[in-house]
Amino acid sequence: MRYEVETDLYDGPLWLLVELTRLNLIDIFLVQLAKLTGSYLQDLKRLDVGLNELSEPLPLLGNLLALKARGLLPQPETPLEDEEVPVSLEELERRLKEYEQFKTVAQLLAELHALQHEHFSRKPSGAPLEEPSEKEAAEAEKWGVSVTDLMGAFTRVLRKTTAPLYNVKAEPWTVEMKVEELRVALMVKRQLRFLDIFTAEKSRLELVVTFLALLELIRQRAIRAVQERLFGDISVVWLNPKNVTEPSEK
Amino acid sequence: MMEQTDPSRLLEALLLVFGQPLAIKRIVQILPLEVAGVRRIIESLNAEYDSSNRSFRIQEVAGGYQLVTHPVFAPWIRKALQNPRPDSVSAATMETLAIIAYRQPITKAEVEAIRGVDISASIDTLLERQFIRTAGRKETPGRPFLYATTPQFLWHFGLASIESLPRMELPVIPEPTAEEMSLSSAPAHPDGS
Repeated sequence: MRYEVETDLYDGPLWLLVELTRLNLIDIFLVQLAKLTGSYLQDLKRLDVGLNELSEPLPLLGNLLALKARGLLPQPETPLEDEEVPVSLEELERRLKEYEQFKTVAQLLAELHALQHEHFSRKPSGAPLEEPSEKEAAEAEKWGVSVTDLMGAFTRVLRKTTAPLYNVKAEPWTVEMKVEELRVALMVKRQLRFLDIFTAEKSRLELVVTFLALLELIRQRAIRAVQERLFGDISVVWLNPKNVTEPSEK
Repeated sequence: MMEQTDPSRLLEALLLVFGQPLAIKRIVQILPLEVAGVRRIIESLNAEYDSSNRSFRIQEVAGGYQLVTHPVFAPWIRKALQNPRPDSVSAATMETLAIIAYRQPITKAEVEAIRGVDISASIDTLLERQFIRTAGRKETPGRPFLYATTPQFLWHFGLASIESLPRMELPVIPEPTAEEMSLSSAPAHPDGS
């Protein structure tokens, strides 16, 4: 359950290493973090380890990194105003002990949780688990419902929804796609008639997208629209693409 | 009809129907029984189940009672339910839950002060699994949310009530030893060494 590490001067659970470095009992500069993270990444690649177990060392490793980074920073001459008051050794011990006790009961709770899941009851029937007592009801009135309650209620509303669902299709054409298409066509043919680009059997959407692509190419100065004479056909002419795609080239 | 019915059979029938703990408060509303009477009946029913080697018994959990199967059948039931394992709770999340359970109502910052790490993710997990809920706000700057455990928490951990959490020693401030006293240069103790 506990993530163990091996370093030159410390073998054991990672959380203890973090506590010891935080209390300055191990010099963080003697711990090679690259090794720790390296072996963590190796463990990560093994498939037989649960995600939950692998998530545990992450904040701890992060803590070590933060401790080391803080140590590397130059210390301000005068302590900052909102700096924490240095705590006494007794207070540190007390906190460590308190945390230890919570760790112990957390393991007990984990055992209880596992044990309870060996007992099976009938499938829940949806009746409320507990009727609110008068005190709780009064409290609920005072505090209102929580966000999670609202979200739960809304999820139930969504589940009951009767309105038909609509499927939205992914866009079959994109401007980028059409730009490429036009670019290739023009590179081969050098010139296209405006009306040939927009054939009538194409859908309205495809026409619009193609037109946007055309405008984009004009903006990029990759093509030019020309008209031979007044009211004549418009043609699209391919310009020298070298100047366009590689502007850095002389 | 009611008069002739054995209240212990009635209670058994009620528990058979309910898929989750039936609150003792509800039982005494439904049946002509006192709380102590309900407890006696539960005990005698459980004794009856044990002596006749039944596959289930009555469990007191989350302020009520429910019928649960004997743990020895768990592997087969799990297979039947195609539900190989309950979602396990990570050690880090379990620590957050333990602190909330023992110190409720408590703010996120207070839990973080004990654990020394950011607990946003575990709070989200616990809220999502309905092991904890927000229980108002603390009247301090920022009015942070207070968190407390839910009946679902008791249910999933097989606890009759919050009071039946495993006992935790209260943190004791260790008496400073003579050596430490001299180290901390306490002038208040001239006869320390």
